[in-house]
Amino acid sequence: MVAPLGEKPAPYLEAVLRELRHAENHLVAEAPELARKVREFRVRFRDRHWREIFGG
Amino acid sequence: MEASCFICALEAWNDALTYLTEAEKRGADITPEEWREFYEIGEEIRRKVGGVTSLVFGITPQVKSNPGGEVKVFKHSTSSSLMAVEALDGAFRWLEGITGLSAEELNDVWMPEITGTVVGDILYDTLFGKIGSALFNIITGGLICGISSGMKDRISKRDLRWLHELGAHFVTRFGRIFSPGEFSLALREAREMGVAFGEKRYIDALRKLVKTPEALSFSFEEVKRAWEELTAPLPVPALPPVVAPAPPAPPAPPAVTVPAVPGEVL
Repeated sequence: MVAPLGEKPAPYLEAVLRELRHAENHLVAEAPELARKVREFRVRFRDRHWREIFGG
Repeated sequence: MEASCFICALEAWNDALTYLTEAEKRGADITPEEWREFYEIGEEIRRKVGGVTSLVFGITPQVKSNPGGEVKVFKHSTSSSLMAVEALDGAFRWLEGITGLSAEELNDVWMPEITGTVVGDILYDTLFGKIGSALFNIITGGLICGISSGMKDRISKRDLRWLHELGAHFVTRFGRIFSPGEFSLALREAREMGVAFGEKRYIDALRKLVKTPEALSFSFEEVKRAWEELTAPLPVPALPPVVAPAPPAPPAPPAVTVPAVPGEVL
């Protein structure tokens, strides 16, 4: 279930990363290739939105 | 293979989709390429889940055992519900044990057979008898095929394929009901589970859960509510008030014995 996280985009982007990680964990045992794909997307997404998420 | 892993992954992806949409609404710069890749991942997970999420009449039996191992509760839920993880797990374990097939094979090949059989066989004995049941299966199968063909512009190709398969299985059951072997064993087991569950509750479950294909694809909250209602624990009967027993009487104090004084006359 999703929850309202305020008016700024950062918590939502962070939640996207968390849910992708969640999906990855559920896939890694039975579909490692797909899990790797999710991970690659997640890492690229995190790096691209790093400043938005963490304010760095 | 645990079907629930893929279903949980799909749930997580759905949540991620909601968060991503909300982030974009609040000014996050999500590129078209990111959206495309994100949807590709979702589609791949959905393919892993397979036709399970597409079955309209996907009533999945589940056996739940009590700690002693005795069959205690039967639950049915639409396979289209992502919330039916527990039911799917139970059904897959049960069917894997009977058929020796993997969950993926079951998902791809057998689930329409089983679900069609459960629905058909319950009505088979309870409503129509053999000849009526055969007619029922032919008519139902024909209707499913016909209606789904009529809706082909509104539902995905995969949903259409599954609907056609399901309809075809209804129709072909006319000839298969007499075939012996492992397949028939699975059918008998499925039928017995359905009968044990009870015709009325089964049909109630159907009425609550069977929606149109489109509604099934997008109304997970409704399915979840129906699932929760169906699986709510039975009310526990009120127990009579417990009367605490009176505390035991304190032990009598030990008798005081006065030692005799030497020379004293008792």
